[in-house]
Amino acid sequence: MRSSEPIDRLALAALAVCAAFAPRAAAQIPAQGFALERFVPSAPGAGWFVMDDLDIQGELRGAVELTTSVAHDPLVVGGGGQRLAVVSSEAFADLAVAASWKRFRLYLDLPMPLLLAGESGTIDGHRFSAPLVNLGTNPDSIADPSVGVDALLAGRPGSAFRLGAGAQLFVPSNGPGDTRASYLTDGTVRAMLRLLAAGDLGSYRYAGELGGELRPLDDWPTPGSPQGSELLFGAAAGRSFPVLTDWALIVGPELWGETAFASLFGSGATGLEGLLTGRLEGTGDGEQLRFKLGAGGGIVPQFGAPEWRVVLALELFGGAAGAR
Amino acid sequence: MNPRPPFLVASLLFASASATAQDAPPGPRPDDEADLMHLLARHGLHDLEDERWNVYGQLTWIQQLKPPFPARYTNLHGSTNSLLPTEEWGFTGTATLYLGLRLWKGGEAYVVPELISEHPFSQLRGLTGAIPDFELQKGGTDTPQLYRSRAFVKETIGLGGGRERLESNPMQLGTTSDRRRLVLVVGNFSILDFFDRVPFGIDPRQGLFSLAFLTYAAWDFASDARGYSWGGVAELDWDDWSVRFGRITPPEEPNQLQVDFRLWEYYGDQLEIEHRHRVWGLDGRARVLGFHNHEFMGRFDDAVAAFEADPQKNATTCTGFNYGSQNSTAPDLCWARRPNDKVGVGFYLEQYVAPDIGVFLRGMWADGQTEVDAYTSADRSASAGALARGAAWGRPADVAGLGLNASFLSAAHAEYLRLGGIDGFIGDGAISPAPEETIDVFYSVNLLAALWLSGDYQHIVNPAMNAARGPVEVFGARLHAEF
Repeated sequence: MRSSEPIDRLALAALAVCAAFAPRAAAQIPAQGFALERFVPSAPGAGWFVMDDLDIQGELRGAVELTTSVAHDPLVVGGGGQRLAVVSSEAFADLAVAASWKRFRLYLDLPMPLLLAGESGTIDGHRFSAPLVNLGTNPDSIADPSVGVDALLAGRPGSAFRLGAGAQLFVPSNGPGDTRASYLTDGTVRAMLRLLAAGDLGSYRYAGELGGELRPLDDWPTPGSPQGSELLFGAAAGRSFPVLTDWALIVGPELWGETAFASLFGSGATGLEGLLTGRLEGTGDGEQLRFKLGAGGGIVPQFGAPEWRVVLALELFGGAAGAR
Repeated sequence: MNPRPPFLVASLLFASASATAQDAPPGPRPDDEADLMHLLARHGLHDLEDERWNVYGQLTWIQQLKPPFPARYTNLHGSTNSLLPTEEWGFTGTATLYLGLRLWKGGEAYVVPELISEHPFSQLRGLTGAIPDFELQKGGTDTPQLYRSRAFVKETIGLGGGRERLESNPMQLGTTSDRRRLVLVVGNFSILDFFDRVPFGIDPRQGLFSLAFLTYAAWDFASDARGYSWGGVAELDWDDWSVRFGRITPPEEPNQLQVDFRLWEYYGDQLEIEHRHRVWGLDGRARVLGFHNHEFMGRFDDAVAAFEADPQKNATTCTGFNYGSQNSTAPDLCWARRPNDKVGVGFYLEQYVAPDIGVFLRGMWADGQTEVDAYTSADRSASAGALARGAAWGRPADVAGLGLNASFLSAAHAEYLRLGGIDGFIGDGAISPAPEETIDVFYSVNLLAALWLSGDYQHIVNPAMNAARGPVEVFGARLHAEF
């Protein structure tokens, strides 16, 4: 229980020192921070890490998924021969639950930050402060939780071509540690709208997406920062191998990226990331397990795409009754 | 501490006029509940008796008014922790989702996201156990905040003794289990999920409003500013007996959200023994709870000694963590924080006196040598009360109750406050020491299948243990829905 905010005189002293040097620092623009994480898992039951296999069918079914992601250097800014890893380490655990009915899926994603750390410094007159986020500082954070809805518009599970659409709404949690300075939130509501496609061609699978993120935050010209709404794109392909009885191993690459509409595919406003993924999933009727592992990194390692990333997920989903 | 006789008499008088019981926080749901799980079960889409998963939720809004009250002084000499004597409105609003998943046979996982918005009287200053809304235990702001209140894994190891059914409830998957069992919990939870559970299993959101009745006011259980902890609990259930032990994390600084995970260095340990019995065919239970906190916190006598040795070591000169007092003539705990210990022991008894009426007694003595680190400023507390369900008057889903609580200061704590010191919640700049007493009475009307509207009145004497202030009246209303 807490009665009120404490007054830390060390902090006051630090502020006073900063104030004393304000004239000299006046040319520096403080970077405010933003929602850095670019790995937004698809709904539980969607198969891929970010793409969606649109396996939406049948009566009421549920799915739950725990995904962990560890990334290195997701925010590095440079200029004038300098390099600053504002966020050098980033780790999240995402817990998501989904319910699907006939051609519709509703889901809730709760991203819980485990670690954000980096280095502070000034680049091109922009002063960056490294976040300090861990389970001690943020013991109960849920950073920008989201609720989403997906719909299968054409095709059926297992068919060569399926078309769907998805919408996802991100809401700031307003927790005391869930701040822009922590690189956990934009502090505003965001939304994603995507057109989804997927298909099965024999033992091969593919999926793709094209859409946009409605993002009010525009911090241009702060390096590495959002520049308003973005175009989203991505694709995945893999081959399925039967393993044991009622299990399948699907292996393949997954790519996704984003670019600000304000500077379409411009340098500093575009990120592209890829993972080599493998997933082992139950193929029988009823509730099934899915284990997913992915490793990769930034193909265009900027705008939130890290130098490298490792992701791991465990999923319980409602089975493939009647499918495949 | 035993409750004073008038409390007992009042409790029994009330009890004789009218309650039902179940078990487990945040409160079990009856079989005919209009929630999602029961709805799915009624349509043959969910098995309540052998659940793989469940989802429950609740919404609660509590609005309270504190009219002006008499006070000989307020925030004397620059102290900052007085309850303001002016009229104030306060509220809390919470929305909670309880997610449960069976991981394997005997293994369960629970995650509970919660949204809270709150505006306490006087920034939650000026009261100990008498804080009039138990939800204020959870730190929050006017702006709604979403956080993860719990994320834990539970493993149940059957030890025989016959089988019993465990009903589907929030944070409990419907299943059958051995009556004798060892339950192990690891993760992030409220220690009140497992220890000193609420009387008669009545959800606090349907029960007494005051924080004084959530648990022992003097049990300064280790937790973050919202009342949640990380750690582990082991519970052995053996027929009519249960023994529980838990080690949990304290905050890094007293009453703050940041958690110190060095459980080998700073921790809160608690041990509880419970016995369930029947008297004249009516259920009851008795518990003894002891706790030992080893945390980075200040002793009152150390703070006083530091000030007396050097008056410059006062509330205004300390550069470490402090509560912002502007009283330069007072000691401050900021100068005294180091690894210290706090111990306490409590006793609890609940007994049905009729099929729908129950009475409870609760008392705790803590050593009172160190500052509040997580819960309330009370060093000792005693409470008694009665809860009744409305079956006797034809409204079985209604709940009514009366509670009386007294909180007490240790001599060292009183001396520190007398000198003008403040702790996390109290300190008027001076004190006329007296027990802080609360009377809380409420009635909860079941409006619809899963919607309750409650009215509540509280009378608080000697707020912050100071006879120079008060009494304080608090009027409250609550809307509570479950799904």
